[in-house]
Amino acid sequence: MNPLGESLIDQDIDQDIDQEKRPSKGATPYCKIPDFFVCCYKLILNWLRNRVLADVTVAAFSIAPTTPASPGVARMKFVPTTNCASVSVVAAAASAQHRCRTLPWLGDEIDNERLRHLAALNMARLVKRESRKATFIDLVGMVTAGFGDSDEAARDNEVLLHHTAVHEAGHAAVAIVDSSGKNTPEYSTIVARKDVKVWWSNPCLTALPGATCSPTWTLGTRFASLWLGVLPRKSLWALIGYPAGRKPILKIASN
Amino acid sequence: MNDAETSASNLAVILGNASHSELLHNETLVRNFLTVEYKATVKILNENRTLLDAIADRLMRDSVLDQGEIAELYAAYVGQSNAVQI
Repeated sequence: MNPLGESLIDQDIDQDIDQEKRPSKGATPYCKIPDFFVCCYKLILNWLRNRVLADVTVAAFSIAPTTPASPGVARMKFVPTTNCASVSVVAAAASAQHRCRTLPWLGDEIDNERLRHLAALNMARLVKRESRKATFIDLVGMVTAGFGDSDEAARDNEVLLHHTAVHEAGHAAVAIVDSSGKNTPEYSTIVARKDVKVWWSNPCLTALPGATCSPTWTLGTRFASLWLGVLPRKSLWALIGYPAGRKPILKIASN
Repeated sequence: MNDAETSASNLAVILGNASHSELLHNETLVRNFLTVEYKATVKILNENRTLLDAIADRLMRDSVLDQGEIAELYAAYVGQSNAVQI
């Protein structure tokens, strides 16, 4: 496995989208981006200091202009958790048509528009992938996984870095060309990381002792062939899934 | 056909409790799927090598590209392609 990081092709399977259309999104998991987690950590500290300010609207965003934002995704909330967290964050579906509309609460801690976008994107994906509301614990999990995964030393290898850049560029190029520019990848990165297993799992669960993970990718695109070309066979298994009323979806998971 | 099309390097392994015939059927589906998609992917990459190199070079400079930046690269690539055709 390329230690500089395989990209994650997160299709965010939407039941409203015909699989034949294959909404392509070349992306890289959040824990490849150490700065992002630093910002998350600051965000949490800030929240701890100011948690009396409950029910503060934090951010409104869309996951991508090319992907229809469903109400279930757009109305994500940070809901109270078992530790009595009282932050409530609402992204209104009505304003989800505008990309990366991140409001000051996030902006104070994350001064980079890209990172704000990635933060919003990641939380939206979490909500959609697991069909639940994001919680404050999720942010904690991201911080935990992120700090443990970054591999700065791998950047020293320029040859490997370029190899990875071409690899990730291939994902982006195929996604955008295959859709004639309609499905532009939300982001692409070659930021290094060490272990592909951690980002693969639920960041919330990995932060909790004794939690189990269920790593499963769902790929519905031709990216699958590229993946299968580079991953060891022994680490792969594949299923042909037949969701009710839908055509087969290729599901691939890593052991 | 190159090696990757004919070898098992792009072959998915089927596991589960399915019958032998079902496994065989699924394997055929997977093989066909992967072959078609592999060819299509390689074709896209070869035909759009300029775009591929542009994105890769940009990634080497900026480790993270967001959607807008990728779209800009694509727009520039399309503009160049149209200019060449004219």
